[in-house]
Amino acid sequence: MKSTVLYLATFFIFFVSVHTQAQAEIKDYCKRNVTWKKVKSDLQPYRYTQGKSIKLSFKRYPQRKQIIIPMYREMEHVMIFNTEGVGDHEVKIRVYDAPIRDNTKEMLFEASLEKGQDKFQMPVTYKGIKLYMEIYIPSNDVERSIQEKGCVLFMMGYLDPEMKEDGRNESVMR
Amino acid sequence: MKFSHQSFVWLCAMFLLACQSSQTSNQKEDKPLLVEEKKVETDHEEVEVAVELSLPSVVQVGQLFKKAGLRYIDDLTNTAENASKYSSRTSKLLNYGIYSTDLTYCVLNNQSNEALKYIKTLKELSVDIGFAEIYSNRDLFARFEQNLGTPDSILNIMDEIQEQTDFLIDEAGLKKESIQVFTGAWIEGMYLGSEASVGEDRELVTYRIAEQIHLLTDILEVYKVNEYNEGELSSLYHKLSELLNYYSELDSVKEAPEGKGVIHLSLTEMHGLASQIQELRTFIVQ
Repeated sequence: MKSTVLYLATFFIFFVSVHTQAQAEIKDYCKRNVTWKKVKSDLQPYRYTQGKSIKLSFKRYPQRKQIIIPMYREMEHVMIFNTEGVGDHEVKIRVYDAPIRDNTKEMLFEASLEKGQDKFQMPVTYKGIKLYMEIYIPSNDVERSIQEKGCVLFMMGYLDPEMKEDGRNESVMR
Repeated sequence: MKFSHQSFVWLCAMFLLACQSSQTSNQKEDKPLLVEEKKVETDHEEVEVAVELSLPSVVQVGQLFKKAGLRYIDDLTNTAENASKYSSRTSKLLNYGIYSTDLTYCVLNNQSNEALKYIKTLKELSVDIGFAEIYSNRDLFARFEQNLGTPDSILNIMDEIQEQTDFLIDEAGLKKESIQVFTGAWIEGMYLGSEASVGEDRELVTYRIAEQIHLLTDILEVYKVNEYNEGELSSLYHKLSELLNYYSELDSVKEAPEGKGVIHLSLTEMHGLASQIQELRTFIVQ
């Protein structure tokens, strides 16, 4: 009987310790609803084509994320990057003309994120059919018991130069 | 109550296994729509690299084709009546994408009655695929009907639908659903583009088709890396791969210099490609 109680007590302590470890505190800086609306309103007069939040999980080592963005010639594109959902982490966003491991890639844009948001107007003369957005996520020194998360909000719009002339892109009806 | 040492060890082992499997499944749900995920070594540090794909709206792709000279052909789209035939979740998702493109095609070509049929079909299908929230706003439908004769206003409403779809996918983590819907929309765009250009040397339309094919490589990677190329989606994946292989073997493609440009296909090549696309599309809508 005594040994049974001992076994059960040990199991109870073991259960509590593992359970506590598994449920590390999660701190999520991402406020998708708010930033989505904000970014969308800044997209005008461009027509919406795509939007997504790129989820980040800050780890003890640096990470890099690449987002492949299809492009279409003869259209003006604009990209908006919002980093209000990354906390104090110094995330960097750059846009290249080639994939992450291509040594010949050229940087076309680096976002200035002091104000939490930046806009890149892609020249209509760009000949490529894809763009590559890279997000540099620094390593995180925060104690392991806190799991920090966040997101970068990305939205893209376009203008057809022919349509712009007759004002159709401006005819926003909400 | 007899509690042996062996029972205790088993209890602990089972508990650990349960914890581990629950953590694994949670991690999988949190993953974005990946194209690839690898660890690479740079000059100074090891970084974890994840690659995601961002997908364009059907309205933008439709406008590109329209601008390139894509004409309207009666009875080319998938009839709204076919929607009742789709019973599996996969076929509903793929055909939701097909109908999204058909709706755009009709709106861009001032086919108001057809457009109305397609928006209603999309709303019906949305209930079964978890997209019902997008159409829950009654005002959206009323505005759609009121503005049927004004394509620009309808396109604005469609932008709104696209935005709400993207937001829902993002919020609810409907990654697998989103790539299936996009695949359907992509195939229908390719089908309409190839059918409406066959018979005439419509250089700009074929140029846009070749441009769109480049996206297929990334779409296939999404299926592969996320293991969506298994089970019910394995046939689709196989057929999409066949289409890419067919395209890669075309003379214009093989002879084209490596670079960032888009290939111009000959009329004969376009005929062959159109036939491949038609076969793939039939597989989905039948």
